[in-house]
Amino acid sequence: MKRSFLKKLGLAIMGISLFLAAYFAAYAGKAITVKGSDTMLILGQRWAEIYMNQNPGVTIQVTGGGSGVGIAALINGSTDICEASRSMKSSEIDKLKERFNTIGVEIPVARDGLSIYLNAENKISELTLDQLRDIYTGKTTNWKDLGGEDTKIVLYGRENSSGTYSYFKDNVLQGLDFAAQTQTLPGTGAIVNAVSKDKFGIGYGGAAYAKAVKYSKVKKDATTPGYEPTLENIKNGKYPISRYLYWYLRNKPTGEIKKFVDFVLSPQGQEIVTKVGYFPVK
Amino acid sequence: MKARIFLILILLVILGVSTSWAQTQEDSTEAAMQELKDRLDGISENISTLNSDVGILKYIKVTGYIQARYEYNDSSKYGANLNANNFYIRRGRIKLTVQPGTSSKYVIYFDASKNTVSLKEAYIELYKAVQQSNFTLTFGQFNWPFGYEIEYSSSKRDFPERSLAENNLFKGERDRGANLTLALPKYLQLNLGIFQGYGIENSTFAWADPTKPKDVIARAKTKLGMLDFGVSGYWGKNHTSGSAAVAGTTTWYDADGDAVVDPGEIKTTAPKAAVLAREDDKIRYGADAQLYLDFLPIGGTGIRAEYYQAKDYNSSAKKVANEKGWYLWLSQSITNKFGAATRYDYWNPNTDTNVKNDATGTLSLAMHYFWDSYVRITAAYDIPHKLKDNSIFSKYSGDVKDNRFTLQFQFTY
Repeated sequence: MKRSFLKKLGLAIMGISLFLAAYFAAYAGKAITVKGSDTMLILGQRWAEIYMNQNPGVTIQVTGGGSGVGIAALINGSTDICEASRSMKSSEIDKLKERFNTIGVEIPVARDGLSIYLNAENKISELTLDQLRDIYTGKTTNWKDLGGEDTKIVLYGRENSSGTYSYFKDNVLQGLDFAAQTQTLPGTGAIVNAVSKDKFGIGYGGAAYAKAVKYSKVKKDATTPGYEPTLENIKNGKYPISRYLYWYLRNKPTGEIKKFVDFVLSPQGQEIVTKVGYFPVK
Repeated sequence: MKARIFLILILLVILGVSTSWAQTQEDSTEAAMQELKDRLDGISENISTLNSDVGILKYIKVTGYIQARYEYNDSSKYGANLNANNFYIRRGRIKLTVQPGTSSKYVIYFDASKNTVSLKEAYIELYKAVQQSNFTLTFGQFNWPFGYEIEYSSSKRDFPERSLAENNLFKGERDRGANLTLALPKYLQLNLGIFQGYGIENSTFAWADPTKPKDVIARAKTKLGMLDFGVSGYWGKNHTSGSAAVAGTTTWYDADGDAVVDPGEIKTTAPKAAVLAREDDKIRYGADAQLYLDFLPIGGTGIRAEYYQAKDYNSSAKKVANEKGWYLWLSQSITNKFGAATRYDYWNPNTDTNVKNDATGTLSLAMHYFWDSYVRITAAYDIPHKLKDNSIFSKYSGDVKDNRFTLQFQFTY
């Protein structure tokens, strides 16, 4: 290697260092962005509101779109924090390795009982996991077969970018495809709204959204009792479809992001979890 | 009395008219509601048809990337055949993936660069979950499931090109064949594939494989959090075409036209013996490891290394020779916007004889700037040199002017 080249290389490194220093200075006060799970949208917004009230100099932007969208944003660098209602897939971690040389940081921030919504007038009050699988795969299509009225079951579900969709598919449908007649809606709120207006509708989503609908109790099988997604039932493992809600970061949190993470995991942050309708991890 | 009867009659008339008017009003409201309902049903039907039509688009994904480059070579000289400083399109890729369900997938992948369009990949994948394990059968034209950097997309790699060992042993990175992947829960993935063996860039055997047995590849890789590790093996045959015997010739040219055979007017060529076609072993073994560290505040650090050991027919040495190659690649992310990397790449095409300047060692440096989520701008510098004693520590004198600077703009979608 020639000396002149080393000299040029040294100058180039110096130039880049100066540019980086300017870059850090320019971006030091930028907003923290949080993106992902629609299930966690309300929760994320509450955390952000309260944290910003307590820390007036900080700006936090929270948006939804679904866990898949949030993870994609984390991978392409357009969000600082990803909210996800499912774990990252191995293929998604591979993309993070390729782009950022990291495996990401997974932080469980809350627990959720994946609720089954029924219209308040529906006579059915509990369903087994097998029945839910048969309903959503199109094997059971009439409420009569489940002890209800002789009417067609109307299925409401999430889009495939949603973590709730993936979780439900993997854990309730056991990997099988959703029935073609499932109407996909863009958010848990939309599902709750649809089921509240449709006497013969059924939907699934986070516990925090259940307004003007009723929960179906869920049974592991026909011989076990049914349970509602309450804190006690989720904590003691009786409710069969519960999950963690996660925050994902590219690297170990530092600076303001670390302070925000600490706040979310603090007793105050976990109290917000309970107020919103989910279950604390601590 | 008359007045009372008259009043009653008027009331009856008014009542009759109003009842009739109310009836008419009710009928017309009902008709309007029915019409509205019919219209709503029609709209619902249209939306349902539209949803079904648009829903198909969700199954189709179009992805790809373009790499536009300027390359400056030290070796460049003036002249049409000597200038090596150029603007050009290195890769122009477009991939169409169709996945209507969770049990199958179709992929077709083209490259449009340097004025040609070529088929890079075309395959069908079938998926089957058995308890906690997932099987994938891939059939068609796709990447050889060997090592790390073959399957690592050029759109993600820090350096303009793959290592020399990979370029020599797996030219084109793809072949036609079948591959079975078994993903065991969490940690282990196994591959077993059979292939034609000549790759998509072999011009001699572009489509037909002259060797009846197919080449076999096996690979096992594991992911242990921040450390990934894999081993690969390739067992196949290499066909070298023979040539027919050529008879010797004697020709006379009467240069002075005197009809007499003079010395110097006769030319002879020696006969050539037939060269038999041959089949030789084509063996490759590989090991690769990747380590991801998160200890610097500026971003993640990736250390990637891969080793190749191979055996092929060497046409220069006219015998089966052993080959060796490896690289060590250090990559550092610097916030979301920047990246820096360096790689040392070693390749020795014949380890059996210690031929001087046989092996090559290349030091590469690269810097990236991520303009946005789609665009990456890369400046890279490659410093290759021939190694006198085939050792990376060997001294070399009179380094050839063959360094290369690359400026690349890449758009990925």
